[in-house]
Amino acid sequence: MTRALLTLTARQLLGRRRSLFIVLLALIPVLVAAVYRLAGGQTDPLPIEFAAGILDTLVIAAVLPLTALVFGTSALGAEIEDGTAVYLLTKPVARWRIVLVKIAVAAGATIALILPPAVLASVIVLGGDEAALTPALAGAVAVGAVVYCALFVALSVRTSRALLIGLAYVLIWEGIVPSIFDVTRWISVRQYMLGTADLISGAPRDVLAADLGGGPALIAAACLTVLTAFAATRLLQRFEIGQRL
Amino acid sequence: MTKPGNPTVSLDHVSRWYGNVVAVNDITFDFQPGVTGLLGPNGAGKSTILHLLAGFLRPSAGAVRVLGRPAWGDPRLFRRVGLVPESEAVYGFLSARAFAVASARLQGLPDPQAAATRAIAWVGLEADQDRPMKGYSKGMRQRAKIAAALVHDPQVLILDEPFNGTDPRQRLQLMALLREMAAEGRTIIFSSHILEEVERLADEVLVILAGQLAASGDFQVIRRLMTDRPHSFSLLTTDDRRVASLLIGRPEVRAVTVAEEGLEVHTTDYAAFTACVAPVIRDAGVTLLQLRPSDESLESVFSYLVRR
Repeated sequence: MTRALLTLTARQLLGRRRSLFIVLLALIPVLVAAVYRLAGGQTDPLPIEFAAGILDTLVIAAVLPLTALVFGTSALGAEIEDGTAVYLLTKPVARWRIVLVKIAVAAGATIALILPPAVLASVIVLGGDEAALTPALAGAVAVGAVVYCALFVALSVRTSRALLIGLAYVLIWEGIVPSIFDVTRWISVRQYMLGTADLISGAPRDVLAADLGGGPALIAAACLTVLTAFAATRLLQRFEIGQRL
Repeated sequence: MTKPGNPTVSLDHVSRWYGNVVAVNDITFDFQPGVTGLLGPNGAGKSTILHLLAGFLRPSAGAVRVLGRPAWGDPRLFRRVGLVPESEAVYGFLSARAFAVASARLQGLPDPQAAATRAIAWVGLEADQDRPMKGYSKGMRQRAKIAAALVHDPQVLILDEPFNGTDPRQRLQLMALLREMAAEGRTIIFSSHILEEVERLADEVLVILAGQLAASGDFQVIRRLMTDRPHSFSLLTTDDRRVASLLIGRPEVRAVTVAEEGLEVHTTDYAAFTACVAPVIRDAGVTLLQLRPSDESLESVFSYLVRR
């Protein structure tokens, strides 16, 4: 049952046009890294600082949330919008299972398409040095993908404007608000990712600009994921066909 | 509005409203095994009722029970219930067979391939079963949807306008299939706005108008009610006044109005009037230029049933 749900979701999610857009988006850090390498700028900024900059500014702040936004809002939201969700919702499948599979597929697709180019970008910049940054990237991308996708799956069950609201959330809440109000770092996925990367790499905090420690970041990320998955399940349990289908 | 026996599906004083709009108003009905048709014009509330039955809408008042359990909020019910939605949307990237197999897997069936093969054969889609559904005609999509809904051999099958887009041959084939399934003891509930579809298939009929149950029961009884209701005809002849004086004396004619353009005749007996009108006019040496029913819309038929 779960396998059928996984296969159906993956086939629907990884449409040619959507995947192409994400691949192009994911290549941006690689291009920036290549430009840095070709320019030969080895001292200012230092490669480790530049790689951390790519990780923070491009991957964590932009490419990953946008990818998770596209996949997260499409995993279930696209089916609701085009009317095919009725075939899924008329099966004896528990709503929590549907939500978890949708989050898993969206997060898996996000990680699969974002991590390789992000690792490639860091390798291009560091040239094999500072290898600890690669597992840090992997950890940060995995945590970010899961939390963001849980958020966006829940949002897509709640509203047909999930993509727009999600974009505003990424740009405003994740991008601007934490720099103004310090307390919001506790509910910022970006901070969870930075904290995770910091925990794994052991790099100085000022390099990754992490405002949360690794432990608290992982706990907060887990709490937010569970809460949003629970909310998505409740919303789906109360979903009525005339609502949007 | 109910029949004795053990209903498989029941509506008990069910209403459903959206804000100030009442979509379904206080409907009580027990569905038995066999074919039941919901008949009504577009927008009458048929789909809302079917969605309530399928547990896809929460009733605002009353109770909907399917196989002895509340319909709302229990996905386990779909092990024994199948739904064919009106929407044409399908997974375009899947073939009908892959769709049926996926449905069987989501149902947790032990042999999804065999279940899909059987369902595809039921709807006669073997020849095209491996093509992606995005290339299907409307009728083929409809049959693929029905196959997916039948894959787990449900005890209750709910179909929303199932014959939309099907050609006459496919329609007859699907009707035969649904009748066969009903004969095996299943409860088949379908909606249609076409009288002939309901007439051909349904044992029981619910006539829905503006969210209300206008009439229900055996189709022949409903049909008689519809036929025996007062009818109006517009007539145009070469001598309207003479024809008016002849018709007004006949027992099946209730009233005749002389209008600027012809006559408006109200009759209480459709069959008798249509049988006599032409000979009466001919025998009087008058030519009948036009005769047409002036209130034959489905809405007017249903309105009459509601007023009764």
